[in-house]
Amino acid sequence: MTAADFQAVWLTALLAGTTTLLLMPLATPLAWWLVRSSSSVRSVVEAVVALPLVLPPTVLGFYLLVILNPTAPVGAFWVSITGQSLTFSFSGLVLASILYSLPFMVQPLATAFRSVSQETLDAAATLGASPRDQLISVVLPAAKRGFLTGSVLTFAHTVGEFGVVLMMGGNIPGETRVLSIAIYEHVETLNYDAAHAMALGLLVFSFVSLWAVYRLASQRVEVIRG
Amino acid sequence: MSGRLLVEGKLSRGGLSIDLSVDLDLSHPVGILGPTGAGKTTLLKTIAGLDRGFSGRVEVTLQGQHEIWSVPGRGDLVPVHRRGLGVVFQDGRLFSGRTVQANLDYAIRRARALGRAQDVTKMARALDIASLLQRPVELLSGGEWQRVAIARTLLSQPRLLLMDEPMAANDNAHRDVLVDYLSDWREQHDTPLIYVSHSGAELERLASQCLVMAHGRVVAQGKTAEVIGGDSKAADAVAIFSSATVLSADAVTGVLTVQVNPGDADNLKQITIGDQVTLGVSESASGFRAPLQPQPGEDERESD
Repeated sequence: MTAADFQAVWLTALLAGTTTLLLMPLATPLAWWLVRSSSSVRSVVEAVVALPLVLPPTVLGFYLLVILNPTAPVGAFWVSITGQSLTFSFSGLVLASILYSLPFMVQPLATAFRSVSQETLDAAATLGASPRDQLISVVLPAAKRGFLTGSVLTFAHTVGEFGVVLMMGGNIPGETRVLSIAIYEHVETLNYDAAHAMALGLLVFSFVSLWAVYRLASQRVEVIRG
Repeated sequence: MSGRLLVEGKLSRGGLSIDLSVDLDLSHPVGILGPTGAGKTTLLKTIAGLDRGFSGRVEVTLQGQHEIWSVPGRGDLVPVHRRGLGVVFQDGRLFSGRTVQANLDYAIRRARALGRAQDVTKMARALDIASLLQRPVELLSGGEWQRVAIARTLLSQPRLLLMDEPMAANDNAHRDVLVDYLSDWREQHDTPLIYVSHSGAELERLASQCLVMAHGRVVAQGKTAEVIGGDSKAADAVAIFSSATVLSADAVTGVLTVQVNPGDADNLKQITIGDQVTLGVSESASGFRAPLQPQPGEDERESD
């Protein structure tokens, strides 16, 4: 593997890490709302959140390209405040990854939140806990495993991104040339040895991530102390 | 100690409309008695603000202070966590995934009067949970679980205690200790108590006044000794009929035929020929309880 390949590995890890860290605080209130709300728009929001699961990444990438390119209003606004384009840039990839990985963070969190019954929250309320206090002292500790699962899945899913990156990121070394793109390029240029090394690495990483998630899910609930 | 509680309003539960109208003098502990499905738990939940289907008025006077917790059409004016209540639910509702100590700490940290020193060790010893403090609550027996729930609620230093068959899963020896401890604690802390139970014996020791509920209504209210007729077994009634129409009364043969309200007809399933029943006839309403034998198990859970 060349220095450029290592750069791709680093860039991929950076993208996945940034996406996971940013998505967690965004997905938490969203998942909480989805679980608690009885609003009629809830199912609409649920469907929108799940869209990346069924849409071809090219469709999402295409629309993002249309909306975020510097000549479109949103893209132009971003350029005016940051001086950078959202398309064909790392920050654009982060934004795309957040949208693309949304269900992978929201759904494990929603499942974890759902496991906290109304009865338990009622008990906390009678002990003097405000709704905010209930969220922090009862719901979040109980959802610890949901956060772990969501983070691992989001990270792994972002690492495995291809279509969205190709559509709106292109192949700029150090900026948007992530692992999957690098592998594609190696295959295109018949550099099979490099493609093999990276593909195998990605395969092992993905397997370990999923194995960790399933292992996590089968473990007994640990005891929260204090 | 003085206090008063007023509940007025309606709620619907699975097609059944419950009309709650209760006026309680809180200066003495209040017992609530009635068959399964009578609305006892619903009444407690309504007072606590935990019944989301309730629309009506809840007013309370505690320690000389009058508060309006809920008014018709405007919902809850005072949210649950600001009512200063202590509720012990039938199922305890401990926080799972935590130790007994962590559950108690949760209450202590949010106790109403933080400054007031509480001897947790002493309480734990009295309630026979001292050896369980480091145990995850999942590993507790039913009785232990309930005792921890009682301790947790008392440690939150409530202004008003609501208890829903809090000792049902405990054996008689533990129940005796719990009743004594609760009586002492309540007197020491000057805290009003509303206590739901199937057990007349428990109520006679804990509550000097008592109300009987059936089908979502209060059908009798008065001094505990009078309400349960001095015979604590009467409180173990499996069915209480709010009223019945006498069809025939033959003083010679001693045969009495009564027709119960259509709404009470389901209760007749609890009765078989040969059962002993207790009848009561009053000027305002007539009713009878049936049967005294066999008595229901005291750990029977209420489904409402």
